[in-house]
Formats: sequence, structure tokens, C-alpha cells
Amino acid sequence: MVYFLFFQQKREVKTNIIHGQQNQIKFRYSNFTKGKEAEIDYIASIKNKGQLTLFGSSEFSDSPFVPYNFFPDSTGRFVLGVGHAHHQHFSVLIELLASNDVNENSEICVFLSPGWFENGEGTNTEAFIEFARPNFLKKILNDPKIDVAYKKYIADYIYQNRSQFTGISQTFSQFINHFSSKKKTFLGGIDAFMHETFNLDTVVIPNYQPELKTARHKKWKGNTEEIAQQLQQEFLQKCKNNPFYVDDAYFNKYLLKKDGSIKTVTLKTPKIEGNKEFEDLKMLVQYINERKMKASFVIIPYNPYYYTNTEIFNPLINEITTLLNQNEIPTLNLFVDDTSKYEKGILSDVMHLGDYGWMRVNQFLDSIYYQQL
Amino acid sequence: MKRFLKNLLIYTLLVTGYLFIYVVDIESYFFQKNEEEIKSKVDFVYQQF
Repeated sequence: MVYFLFFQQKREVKTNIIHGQQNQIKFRYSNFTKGKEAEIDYIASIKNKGQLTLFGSSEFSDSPFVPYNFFPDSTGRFVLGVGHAHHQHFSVLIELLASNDVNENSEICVFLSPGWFENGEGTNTEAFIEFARPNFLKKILNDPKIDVAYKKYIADYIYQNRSQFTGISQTFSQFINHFSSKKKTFLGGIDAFMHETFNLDTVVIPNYQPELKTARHKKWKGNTEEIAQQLQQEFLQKCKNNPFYVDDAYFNKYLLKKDGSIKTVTLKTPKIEGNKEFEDLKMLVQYINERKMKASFVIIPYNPYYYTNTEIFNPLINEITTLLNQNEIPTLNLFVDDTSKYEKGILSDVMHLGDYGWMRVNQFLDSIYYQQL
Repeated sequence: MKRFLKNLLIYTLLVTGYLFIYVVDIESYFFQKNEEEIKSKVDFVYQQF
């Protein structure tokens, strides 16, 4: 008892101030493994009202027409992208939770790939490690303003996937012992009991204090519709050797087999009930709504010339759009279930946006956030 | 009675020591541990097909 009293009196909440200048106001961070620099720029992007933050995956490229290049170059606005392949809803939710103190009314756009739902297993552990950085998790764990439901959700993920990590960090352990609704170990249960009863946890809360940059807007003088049409025509000129309206070089590299035949892929019907990715999306939408973020979604299509059974995704896409509509989140749904509804050039290959597609996205984002183009 | 008290003392100290050392991890309150960098055992290689 004497020890407990001693330690309780000695206990202090430490704040780890992460301070820095906002540097990157365009282009993207593939992940947060760069550490402090990436974390500061991301938090600054969310905090800087009027700056748009894009959460995407493998469709992100270096093209000048991707919004994180197009808007800063053409209009002087700040737009930062985050993500690469496998950057899915659960990672986005964690990133947003980590910015809980500054994300009210923030402008964000999430690029949703139907392919994420195909196996229904949600975010893989490698992606989790890249995006759910230790500082982010510590911040979420110790932020009393974040609803326990989100902490439980993260704790259950860590618990269920614990065998796929090289170890269990102190933060992982605290998530599991304090919040997981899954089966705990006997010792873990005692640990949580002792810490909660005697208030023993050492609390180190990361506190981001970025110095924000101010954007200088330029007047847009171009004609987006003209540019879009021109990009579409230029793209079609590059699709001469295949019937799928994909870039010739891509076709030769990925779709053509050595024997001259064409690789074919049949999509698997995604389940809706019990689909982890869909559960992640629902949690993300709930959080976006609670924080009153100015959010939008873009649903990336499959190329229906290549994938001939895209209609099996219709029930899922309907569920997704219904969810987003119910929460009044503007959505650009580019998904199509038939070649007749497909705008050639939206994708440059079988599932990634081309420059024409990006111009359609730019027009959509402008209609939501800027009304300037 | 004397033996009982001796055993009680020994086992109480053993249990308390076990709780402090292995469960509460009392050392961590004197020496702050750095956060361990955890990695995924499974590498997911991005493939379109």
C-alpha cells in the first residue's frame, strides 16, 4: 500500500511536444515511416483549415493532374495526399483519430477502392504498422475525448492480429488490456486491474504543435473541360493494341502472357455481412460525422472492358453509397457495371485513375470545396 | 502458529514480489522504456493480379 501511495504521488502525465514547421503543402506521403517530419506535415494539413487532405491508395501517382499536384500548381491551394497500396479505411480512421484535437471541420477526401472489400479481411498488419504509428496510437490511447468505442475497435484489431506482429509494444499491450473486448490472458487481466485500480500508468501524450503555412491563392485561367477532353483524346491514342482501353505499355507488361494469350481475371462476389472492410468504413463514416468534417468520397471503378463481371459488386456499391448518402457525404461514384456506362480514359489501366479520370475528380473536388475552376 | 505466520509472511512476500516484478513491471517506473518498434511478420507485396 505504501508503495502504491508512493508511486501514485510520483505519477505524472508527461507531454511529448512535437514541434515543427509545416513544410510539405503538396504531393504526398506514402506512409508515416519518415517519423516526425511526416507526422507534423499530416497534422498541419488537417489543422490548416482550407487545406484539403486526400487519403488514397495505389491510384496515387506523380501525374500533374492528381489533385495534390493540380490544385497547388494551378490555384495555389494546399493539398496533401497520404497513402499507397493497402492504405484502407482502418488506417484512415486511426490517422484521423490521432488528429482528434484539430480535425473538426477539416476538409478531407477518401478514395475508396472496391477491391479492398473483395476478401473481406480488412487492413493487413504491414499497412497497419506503416500508418498506425506509435505516436498516433499513444495519442489515441491517452486522449480522454476520444470515445471508448474507437479504442475498443483498435484494441480488438491488435488482439486478433497479435500473432502477426514481431512483438507487443507497451502501447499495444495497454490497448489490449484496457480496451479489448476479446479474451484477455489471466496476467493481462490482473495487469489491467492493477493499473486501473491504482492509477499506475505512465502517461506520455504526444502533442503536435505545427507552425502552419498560409496559402496564397492564384486565379485559375484554364478551362478544365477542354483539358479533360484533350487528355481523354491523348489517352485513347495510346490504346492501340488492346480492346480494354488500357495503356499499350501496361497491356504488354501486365495483361499479355508470354504465349500471346491474355490474362483473364474473374472478380469474386464480395460479402457484405461480416465484411471487415465494410465495418471499418462504417466506423470511419461515424467518426467523420461526429467530428463534423467536410468530407467527400471518390469510388474508384473497375475497368468493365477487362473485368467482365463487375455487376457482382452492385449490392456492395449500393450499400456504400446508401451509407454515404445517409450521412450526407458528397460522393463521386465512378463505379460502373457495364461497358456502355464507362467513360474511356477514366482509368489508365484496369483499376487506377488516368489523367482524364483525375480531371473529373478535380472538377468534383472543386465543386465541393472551392467553386473556382 | 509460529510456523503458520512464517509461511504466511514468506508466501505473501513471494506473491507481492511476483506482482510487482512481473505484472506491474515496477522497473518501468524508474527506467522509462522506449517504445519498441514493432514490425509485421507478414509482408504484403502489392500485386494487381
